[in-house]
Amino acid sequence: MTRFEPVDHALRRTSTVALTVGVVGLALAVIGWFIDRETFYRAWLFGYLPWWQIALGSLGLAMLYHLAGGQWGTATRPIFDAAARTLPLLALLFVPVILGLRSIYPWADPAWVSAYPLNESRRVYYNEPFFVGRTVAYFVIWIAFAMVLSWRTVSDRGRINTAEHQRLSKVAAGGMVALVLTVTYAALDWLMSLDPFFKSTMFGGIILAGAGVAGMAFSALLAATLPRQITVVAEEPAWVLNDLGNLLLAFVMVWTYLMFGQFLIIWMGNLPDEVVWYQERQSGGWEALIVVVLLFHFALPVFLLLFRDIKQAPRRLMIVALLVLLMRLAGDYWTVAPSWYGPKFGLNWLYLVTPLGIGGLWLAEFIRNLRPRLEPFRNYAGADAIEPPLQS
Amino acid sequence: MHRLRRTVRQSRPDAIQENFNPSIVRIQGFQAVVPLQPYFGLLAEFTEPEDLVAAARTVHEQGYVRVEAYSPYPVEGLSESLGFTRSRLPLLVLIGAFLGGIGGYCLQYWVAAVEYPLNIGGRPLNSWPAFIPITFECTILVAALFAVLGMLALNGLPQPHHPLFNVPEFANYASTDRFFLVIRADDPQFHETRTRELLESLKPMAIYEVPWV
Repeated sequence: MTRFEPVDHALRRTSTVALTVGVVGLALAVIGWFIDRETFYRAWLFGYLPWWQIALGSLGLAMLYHLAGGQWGTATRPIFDAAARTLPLLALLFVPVILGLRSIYPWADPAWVSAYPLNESRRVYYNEPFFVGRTVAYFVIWIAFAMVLSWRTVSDRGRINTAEHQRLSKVAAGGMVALVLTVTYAALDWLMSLDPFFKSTMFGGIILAGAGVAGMAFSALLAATLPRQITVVAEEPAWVLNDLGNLLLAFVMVWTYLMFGQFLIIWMGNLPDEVVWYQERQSGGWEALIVVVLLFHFALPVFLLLFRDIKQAPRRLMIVALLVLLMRLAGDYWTVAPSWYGPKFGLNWLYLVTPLGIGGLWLAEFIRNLRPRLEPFRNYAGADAIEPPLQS
Repeated sequence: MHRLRRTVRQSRPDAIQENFNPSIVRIQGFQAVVPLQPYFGLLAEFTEPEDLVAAARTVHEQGYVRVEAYSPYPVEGLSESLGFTRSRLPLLVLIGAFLGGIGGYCLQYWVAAVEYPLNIGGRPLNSWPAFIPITFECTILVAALFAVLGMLALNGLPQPHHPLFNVPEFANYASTDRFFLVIRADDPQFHETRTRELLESLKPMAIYEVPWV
């Protein structure tokens, strides 16, 4: 029995559990749909976000790896590629958001628009056909890059020769530009337009950095869960985990920097359209949520990730990464939910069910993509795996 | 020049008792370095970094503790082969970061809210969001200062002269393309013939006695 088999078995078991959770979660969500359609659609958008961020962040990290190289990426490339390849499923899972546009977005709700008329340029941009068209374009671009970059991870055993590397780094360079542009617009469309009068040029960057945090935390979590199996390509798995911990630290810092930058500029400017967004989010219990996010998404992980003893110990890194992933949910909730609840904290059981339901399906799809990408690593160990013979 | 020094660890009490700075004596409150050994140490010269790492590992395994290795550039695995433990530098940097952060904030608070209060656009005197960027910068600045100055304080640099420079080959090539390993004569294990034989067994290019002057 190769040492890969127990891992493969565990992955298959996890996949079954994830699928069960997904189906049960979605069944509960459907019950919720009959009870309260409006909340169902809103909860769907919220439950969709974390998994979309992981997939998109992983795509971005794969591009970063192809551009910059590094042992951390050689070791985690299977995770990035498997996560990026879930984007077609995510495109499918976005359909309920399209169906529920009028429940989710005020600008799509005729009653709201007649009460707060939008000006000409907002009417041109915020309308249903244009929104759907843009969303389709985003997914086409993301899926195209995800497929090109991950096409050969199975056959080339996770290691790429120089010619292949140069080809992929060119794709990644263009992809990076496309990713920043599309995510900026997607963030504007899907999230910022929840308050059609709110405008911040930093918002797209915050969402993109958040996706980076999600992708990094997820791959660090997985690499720490399967340290031997994923990092056998590296001479010293502890240092790969160290790199992943450092990158997670950097992404958390960037995300916090952008979050704070947006707040500082709006606080200094003190203009009504923008300030309202924060006023809603710092009253009626929402302020407690953002304090929790600042403490456990920023302060605690940054402090813990300073220590080598934490970054190099798989179990400890796993716990920190899990904490960051959980806090992403809290941060996302703080970003989107006050637009629906107003300045009074609110929570519905559907907001807990949809992330689980969507996540279960997503995780099963992720593992389906991950398994063939992990498999070839099983016979490699130690230094000889860094410079393997080219494929015979 | 990348300089590595192995210090006596507390886990070797015998080494400390027998050899704790035997060459430094106090005369009427003045410190004077009085060489107790006939020479500073034995210096082995290598042409390849791998040989230096292998030699350092062997010497360390033989139980020598006052061993120093010199190379023109950082060599992977060299510090580990000498049995380096972690330095106290990260702790110093952390302390610097906290001092800088707290100091930076307090400075702004004192200026804006105590010493020279100004009403700026009706904002509170203690406008913490506006203070955060400077607080962050001060954190980084003081942490960086602690890193550089702490590094110098811990490794004893700058040092105007060192007996090793009395060996012309060391003075000429240690910063260009040769790799050196020195076993100091004040090492508890040091023995004039046995240590020389050990170094010879490592096949260096040359072995020198490092004179005091």
